Amino acid sequence: MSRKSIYELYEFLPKTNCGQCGMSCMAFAGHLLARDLRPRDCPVLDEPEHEDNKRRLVEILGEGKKNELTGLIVDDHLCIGCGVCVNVCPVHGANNREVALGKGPRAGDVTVIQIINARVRLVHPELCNRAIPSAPPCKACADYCPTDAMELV
Amino acid sequence: MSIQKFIRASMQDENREDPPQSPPGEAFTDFDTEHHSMVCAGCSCLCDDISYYIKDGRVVRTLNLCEVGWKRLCTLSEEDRLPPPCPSLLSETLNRAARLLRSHRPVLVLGADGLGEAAIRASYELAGELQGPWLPWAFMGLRRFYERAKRFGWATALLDEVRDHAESVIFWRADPLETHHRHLSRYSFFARGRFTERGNLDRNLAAVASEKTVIEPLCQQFFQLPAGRDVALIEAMTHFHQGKGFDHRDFPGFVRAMQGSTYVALFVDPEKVGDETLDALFEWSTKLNNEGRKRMVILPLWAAGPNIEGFCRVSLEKNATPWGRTFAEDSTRGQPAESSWENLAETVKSILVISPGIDPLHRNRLPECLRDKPRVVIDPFKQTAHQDDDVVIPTALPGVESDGLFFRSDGLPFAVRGIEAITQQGYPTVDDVLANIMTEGH
Repeated sequence: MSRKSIYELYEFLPKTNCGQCGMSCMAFAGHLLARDLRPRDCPVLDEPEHEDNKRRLVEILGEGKKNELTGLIVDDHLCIGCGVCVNVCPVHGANNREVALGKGPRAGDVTVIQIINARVRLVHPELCNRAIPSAPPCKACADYCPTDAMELV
Repeated sequence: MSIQKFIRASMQDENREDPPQSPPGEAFTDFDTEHHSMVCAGCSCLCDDISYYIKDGRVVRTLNLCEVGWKRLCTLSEEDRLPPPCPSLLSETLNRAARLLRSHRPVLVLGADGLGEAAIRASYELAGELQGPWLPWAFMGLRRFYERAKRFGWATALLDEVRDHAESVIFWRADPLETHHRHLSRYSFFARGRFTERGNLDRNLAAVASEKTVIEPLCQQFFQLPAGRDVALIEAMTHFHQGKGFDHRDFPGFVRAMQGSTYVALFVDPEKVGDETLDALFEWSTKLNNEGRKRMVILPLWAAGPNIEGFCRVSLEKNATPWGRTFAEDSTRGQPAESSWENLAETVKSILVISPGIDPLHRNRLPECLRDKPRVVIDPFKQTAHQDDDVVIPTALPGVESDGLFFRSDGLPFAVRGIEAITQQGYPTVDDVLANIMTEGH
């Protein structure tokens, strides 16, 4: 799947290293990528000549909110509820035979993510491998998401 | 329509309020009734693992429902619906529809492939009464596909068999992520099966399309080909052991994957491929199956009504052909239906359009050549096109507000139950409307 890169974001920043945000433009791009900062945190982007760049950055970064425990960001505008993420999640595969066979989890099943109202939702982030320091790093859901609706930062 | 355009179109008319969300990990309790293991009739996947939570007659939460099914539910709200007719108005509307259709025979009865089986049968009887063609929206592809199946023999399988066995999956000018969103995760690629215990890791995914599609990043081999090159690729695959090649970077990988597979599942959208390509695909499948070393099954992936297989069954039973029929006076029973929209425009004098539910992909559009005919439309929803229609009859949404027998794309029957708690009072079912048009106007 396509991934956003720090260079892609840097392209739309003023690249003046003015320091008004307290850091260089490249460092700011890094924080944008990690969703620690938003485009509105750059005062220079508010100037009229950078309006298009700011709008483009907002488009690239999407409107999803980061889950602090897992670093997962879901863009609701891109998610189509196809259920691929639910199916490839190794936690589900190991604990729920029906989900491994392709069915969606039942209402009472304890799962990391579920498709609720046609959008993927983290219901038990504490079970995600990314929330367990000793577990192997996993990014299966984002890797296989066909519409790039999921991002791990 | 590309998936991105579809999503944007979905978002544009989404003025609905967000349903209540419980905090992560907590059980959802803010509902009156719940329904589990329900079947969604949004597409011909017929997912049977859907949960609905209802409050005050509205669906406030669903589980496992994809965008297509969710959009159907969202459009049930009052602002998207045609108003429910009062009994006297309904009777008058039905009478007007019956008079219009009976005075403009032959009548084309179009689009029964989205209805339950009983309604499909009713539409067949009505077409007989009105002496016109009885066709689904995808009648041209349907005819081409089943003619080949008859000529070459047809190796097919249940989707569950594909999930259990398929080591190589090919989507030939069909993209499940545009038409059947959960197809990949439920059956064809990601789902683990009896002999594919690691799911997608045990399978090879290839696709042929004329432009980059949503499925492309998931494919090991992706052939972006203009329409005319399909046959060359199939011939190269059929004769690769004789040294026949194909100029594409993914071709060697495709050959290796096919050589290493004992079970190949090919999904094709017959509406998007030509006659020669369909011939070549069936010949390829027949050749591989006759050699005996591997099995290759072909399954149509229709961008059509959710019960197109139900339509085929009723048509086969009544008519010995699965692609509909014509009841025109000069035809004999069993004569196949017309083969193009232009053909139809010459023979029919009016149209009964059955539009069971909103079509998020905008597939079912009446072609230009038929738009000047008088028409009666059966539709649960308000649509801008209705301003040109002569009679519009509002109905309940099949599969959500009324029950019906639907057939999955592989032919497996599912009894789809309506959700009683959200059924709007005052809407007649499509079955009732068709039966009434049949009896009115005599």
